[in-house]
Amino acid sequence: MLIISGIRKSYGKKAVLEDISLLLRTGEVVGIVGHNGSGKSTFLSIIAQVVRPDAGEIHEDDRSVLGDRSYVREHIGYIPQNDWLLSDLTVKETLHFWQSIHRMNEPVFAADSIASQLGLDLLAGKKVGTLSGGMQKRLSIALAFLHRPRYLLIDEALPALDRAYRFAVLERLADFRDQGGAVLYSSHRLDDIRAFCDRILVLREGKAVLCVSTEDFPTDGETLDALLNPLESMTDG
Amino acid sequence: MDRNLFVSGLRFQVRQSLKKLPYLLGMTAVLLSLSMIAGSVAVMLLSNRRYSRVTLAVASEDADPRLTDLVRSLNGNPEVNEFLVIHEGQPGQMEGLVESGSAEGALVLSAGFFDKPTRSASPRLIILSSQQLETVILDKMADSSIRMFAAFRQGAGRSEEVIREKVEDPVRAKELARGIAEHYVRWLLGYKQMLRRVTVNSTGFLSISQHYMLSALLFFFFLTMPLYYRDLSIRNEQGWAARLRSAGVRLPSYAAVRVLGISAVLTGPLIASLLGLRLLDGTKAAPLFFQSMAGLILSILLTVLLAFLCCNAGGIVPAITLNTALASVFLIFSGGIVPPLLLPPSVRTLLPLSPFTWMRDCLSGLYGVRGNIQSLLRLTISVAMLAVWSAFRAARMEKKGAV
Repeated sequence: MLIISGIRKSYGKKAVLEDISLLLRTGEVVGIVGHNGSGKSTFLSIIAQVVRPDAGEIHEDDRSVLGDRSYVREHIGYIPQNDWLLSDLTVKETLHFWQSIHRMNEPVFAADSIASQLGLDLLAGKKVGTLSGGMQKRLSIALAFLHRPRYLLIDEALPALDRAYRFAVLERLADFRDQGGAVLYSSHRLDDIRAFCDRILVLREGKAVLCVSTEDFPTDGETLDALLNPLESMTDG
Repeated sequence: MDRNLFVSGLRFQVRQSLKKLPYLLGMTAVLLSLSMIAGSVAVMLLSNRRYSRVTLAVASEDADPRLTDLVRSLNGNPEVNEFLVIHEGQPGQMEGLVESGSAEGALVLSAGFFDKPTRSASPRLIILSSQQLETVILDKMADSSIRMFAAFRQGAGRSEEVIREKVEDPVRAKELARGIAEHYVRWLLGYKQMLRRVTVNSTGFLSISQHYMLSALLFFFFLTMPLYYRDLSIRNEQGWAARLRSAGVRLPSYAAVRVLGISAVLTGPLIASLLGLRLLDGTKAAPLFFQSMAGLILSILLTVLLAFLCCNAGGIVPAITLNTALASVFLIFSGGIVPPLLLPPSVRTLLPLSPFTWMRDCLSGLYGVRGNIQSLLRLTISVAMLAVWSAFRAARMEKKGAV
């Protein structure tokens, strides 16, 4: 169980996150919704330890894991909103590099591997810079899964995928959850969030305004308006 | 970054770089041949004494026939003729000859030049010189010649007075006097008989070819660094760096892996080039292993670390500009273009401060020449300082580019 408490982050005078806390239980998927600039990506990148918070703590059970690089490497899988890949490397080289970081030796394109499931074996020799946005996203997702993390942080990853691969990823995520993994999933798409998440956290201008189970999440437009204002960035369906 | 992670990252970087093996082989061949050419040219210019001859124009204000004799004598002397051709002309032509480049310099002998010393008057020599390097030598030559000539004329003049007193026939007296002058010139130009040159095989210093080959090798090696811009520039990889952070890898560690990986890969071409140069130079002396290896490793690290800083100072253009500027400054201030002895004293004092001097000093162990321990120390300290600076730079980039 990942206990995230009192996370604060400011850039200059602008407060991006104000006292956000969350409990991420194993075998659970928590969705994060909010309009652009509400702090979703910053929150995920703080948990992925890409960004250092101004205040707050992250614990796994009783162990403080904030700033613990080996913990992050072993247990966190992060799919950033931007793919953050090296354009000069081929798909295979990128996967191999990631394996070398995680000290893994198994074949990257084994039949049941995420890389093969996402069709990356067909792109193995291609340079990342020549791939389409959707292909790069598939690679990005594969990297997050590669080392079998305990927690997955997904920042707006699925909308970029076409239907077949989106289905494959959702299936993989369901397996991951069933095996005791926990997912923190940020998306603009409320249908994805509702279909897939057990709980939903709503962020508005850096503040947590609601955290409820999916069943209790409001469905009527007026309440959503009030919660997520401005709502223009949200699409339902 | 833990040790295993560091090693696996390094192995990956090396494997990636080795994929460009044909390119590395080509680089070795280019380094080797350019350094060899530089060494050979330096030897030809500075040691074989085969010069492009300097043309000197001379004139006498009072059209003294003794000048014609002197010019004939000098042009007929192979020792002088090896590096100097003298043309006699009119005083009014001299400036035009230098201006048009027909002569590198000109000398105008004032009226009564040959006789003044005998009358205890000072002869005046007018020097017309351009700004070319050769005329610096001309100035020196003229300076020493006029001193020599004044001394000679005093002696010859005295002889002429004695001849005039003893020989009644003025024509005969004049012939004898000219004979004395010519004899003196011949004696002066035949100085070689008074010299004995012994060439000693020096073991304390690099030979001219070794000095320039090593200097050129270090210079061209330095110039190849921007070819690794994509590997060394991490400032445009903030996204990748952020992803690495999510895998527990910090940017300074990642930068260190890259620098060390490229350094490891470049060790091959540099060793091959150095051994090739040693082979082509025909050096027999046993190499000093520790000094050479330390010099090799530290030279590569210093070059790659400086290239890392250049590559992360801006885009590719600032990287190339900075790298080339540094290489040129290091080369000049290490005596890699103009021989150290010809450098102005103010520049010469800077010689021990050029990294190329330290590198060459350490690498001279390859030719069995014991280098200065201070060079090794300076090189080590510089590498350590550059490593700290690079790590600091990477940490700053990570902080500034944090998403």
